[in-house]
Amino acid sequence: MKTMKKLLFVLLLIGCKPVDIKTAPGFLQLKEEGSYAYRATTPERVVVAVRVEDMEGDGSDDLSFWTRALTLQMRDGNGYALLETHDVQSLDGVKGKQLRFGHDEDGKPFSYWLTFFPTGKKLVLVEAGGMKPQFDAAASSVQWMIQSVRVR
Amino acid sequence: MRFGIAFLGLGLVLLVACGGAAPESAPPTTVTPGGAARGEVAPQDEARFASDVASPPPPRPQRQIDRDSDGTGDAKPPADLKKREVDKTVATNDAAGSGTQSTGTTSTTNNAVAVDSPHDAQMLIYTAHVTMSVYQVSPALDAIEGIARGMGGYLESRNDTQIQIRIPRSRFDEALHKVEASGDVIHRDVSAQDVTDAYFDIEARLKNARAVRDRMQALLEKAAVKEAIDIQKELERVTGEIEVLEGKLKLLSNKIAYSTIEVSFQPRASAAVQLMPRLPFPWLGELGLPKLLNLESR
Repeated sequence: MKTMKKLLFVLLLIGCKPVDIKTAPGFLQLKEEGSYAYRATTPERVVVAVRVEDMEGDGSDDLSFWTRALTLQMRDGNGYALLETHDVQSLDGVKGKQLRFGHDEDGKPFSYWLTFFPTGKKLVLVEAGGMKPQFDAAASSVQWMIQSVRVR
Repeated sequence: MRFGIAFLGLGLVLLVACGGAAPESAPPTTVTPGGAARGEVAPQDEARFASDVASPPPPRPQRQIDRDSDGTGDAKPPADLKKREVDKTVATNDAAGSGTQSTGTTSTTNNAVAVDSPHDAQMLIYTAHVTMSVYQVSPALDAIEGIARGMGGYLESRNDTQIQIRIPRSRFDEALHKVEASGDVIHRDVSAQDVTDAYFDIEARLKNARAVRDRMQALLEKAAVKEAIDIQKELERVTGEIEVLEGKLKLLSNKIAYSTIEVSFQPRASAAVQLMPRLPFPWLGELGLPKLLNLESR
């Protein structure tokens, strides 16, 4: 009976957590208070962060809607160059999309990946960015972190 | 005698049937549309142009340009425009290839007509405004400048976020494709401004002004001293007017001959973005590098 209670408690904890992501070696998780549910950085300021936005209503799990909306926002609104688009899947099987952008800040090229998973009840966004050379060096770690995301 | 009259009558009948009627009946069946256009319309245009320069322009500016270049010197479009038009004709004719050898003349004529078609006949100034995303801007600017130089064009202006190049009109589409391939195009606006009326208006005014100048010069040679002073003043005014008109025509010819491609590397103007419907998600505006990479303030 005690074991059952413990298991129930653990499941409850997992259920309350908005998102689950592993921190790759070389990254330091930051204590978050703002709009990010999670944020970690390397010493070279390659940053990975997670946002969780509550969603309700029909269509909130529409992947193509969010792909278009986020592409418009980043390209037309912010002037980011869309370099690649990839289909992705969270560790717990939710389908998502990864938009890979490039953008100059103060004349220097930066990389910015925006990965998102619409579950229907929430939209989980994983942002990753940094100066292009440093980001390229940490890309495999960033990718590993994104692949470790559980959204349910 | 009777036989002689009968032969004469028969001969006349044959002459009318075989030869005499031919000039009237042949054109509708044997002359191609192209042949008719080149053989018949052009001389009419020639005559119309010679008799009334101020009349509405005929749809044959290429010929008008050539004619003008013969007659007015400075007002002619850049030489390579004419060369390109010739090249275009040759290329189009070549494109007809040997597959149409049996109707070679017709093909050639039709192709020539295609070059002279109303689309090409209009004097159009092509302009493209392209907004590109802000990524690796400096190399992209270099690449675009290289495209201009490589295609017979030139750089008009350049700064950190913007470049304007001029491309020979015949290579405008090709250049635009190359420019667009050099980055992520956010917005594109291509326009063609028809300046046919303006061109021929200036051309006619120039021709008239030159005629006035020539008459004044002739008068000046015969005029007395007092009259000569007045004529000289008027001559100066007309000469000034001619110079202004020549300048305008030259500028217009250049704009026609060289299309403009302007590329901006910057987010679209906020006014343009605001026209887009906004989604009710304020966090969308927080996405991006500045907030993500700002590790100090949260």
